[in-house]
Amino acid sequence: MAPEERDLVRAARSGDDDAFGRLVEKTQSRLVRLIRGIVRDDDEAMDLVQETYIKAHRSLDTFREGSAFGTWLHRIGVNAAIDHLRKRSAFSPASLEDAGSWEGGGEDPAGTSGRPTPDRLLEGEEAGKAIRRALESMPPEHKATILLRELEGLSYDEIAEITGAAVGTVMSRLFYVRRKLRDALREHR
Amino acid sequence: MTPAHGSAGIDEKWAVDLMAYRDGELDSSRRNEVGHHILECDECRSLLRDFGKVGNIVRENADEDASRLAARPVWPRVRRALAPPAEERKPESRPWRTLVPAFRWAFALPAILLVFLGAILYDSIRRAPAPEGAVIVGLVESPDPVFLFQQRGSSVTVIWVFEPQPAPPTKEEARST
Repeated sequence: MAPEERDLVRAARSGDDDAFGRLVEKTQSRLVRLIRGIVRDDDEAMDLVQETYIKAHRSLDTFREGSAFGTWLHRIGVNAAIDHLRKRSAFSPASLEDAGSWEGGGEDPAGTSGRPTPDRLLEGEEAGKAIRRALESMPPEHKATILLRELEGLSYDEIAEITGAAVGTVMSRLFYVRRKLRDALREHR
Repeated sequence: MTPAHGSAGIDEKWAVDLMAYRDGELDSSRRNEVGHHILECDECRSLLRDFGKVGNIVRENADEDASRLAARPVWPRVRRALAPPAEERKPESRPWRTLVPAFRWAFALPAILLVFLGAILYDSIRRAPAPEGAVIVGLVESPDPVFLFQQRGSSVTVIWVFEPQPAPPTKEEARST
């Protein structure tokens, strides 16, 4: 944790709300991007970001100074977003069954060599839409995993800490999601 | 075909290692092994490229979505939510305010009764004929029928004020009719 961030956390823990406000301003853009990516809705994302900071403020006493504030904050935010999506049931049971069946092992992800390559789609707007649609249908834990990796660049260990999953599960989820997204690009064409 | 590739394409375990290679999650010996293979294998390079492109699109989408929310302030909302609720105003200490609603009919009924009785009394006095033996000392015209009392010791003088009466006809008027 950077010295400035550490000082802000200490001040916030001692009751300085302005220090907590500066922590919010320093971390909000990444948290908004992450939570928006998971819940796929602007207003719900902002409500969850607010909820995350309120929970963080109330739990500052439990924060260990040796750990990274951002990681701690992301854990609160990701769990709130996942809980929210579970309640909303925005994802279909079929997609969960599909995800579960793959995690136990599946066919070779590259066994689609006869299909057209996605190269010509990758830079276009349609490719972005295809990825959005594919992400939409995924379970929240999978969305959180790929976003923590691709947006935050977190290691498998850090993702495991935030999502509360084993490192092997993180690898499995990441591979599943990437393969699905790659297939979505191919099918789109 | 290498040991990493089955008849249907890249072996699943090998593909996961390729992903971990891209993410920098392999130990050095395994990293060297996978790295050497990638140099020789078009299919594995293609898979890695696809993973990279998928990652780029995920980031672009997320940045685009989050840019719409950049203008929305977060801290003011959080500060408002964290503020303690305003202390409720205590009612001022005016016990009669609590008593009046409880006994309002106890106050209101006698007041209504008094007004009613007063009206009856007023009307009966107004309509009452002059008492026997009273001497009318004069007539006063007034738009309102009122009466006045004047008390001096044991004697009471009542001044009756009657409604204006039409003037009696003159002799000429009476003759013409």
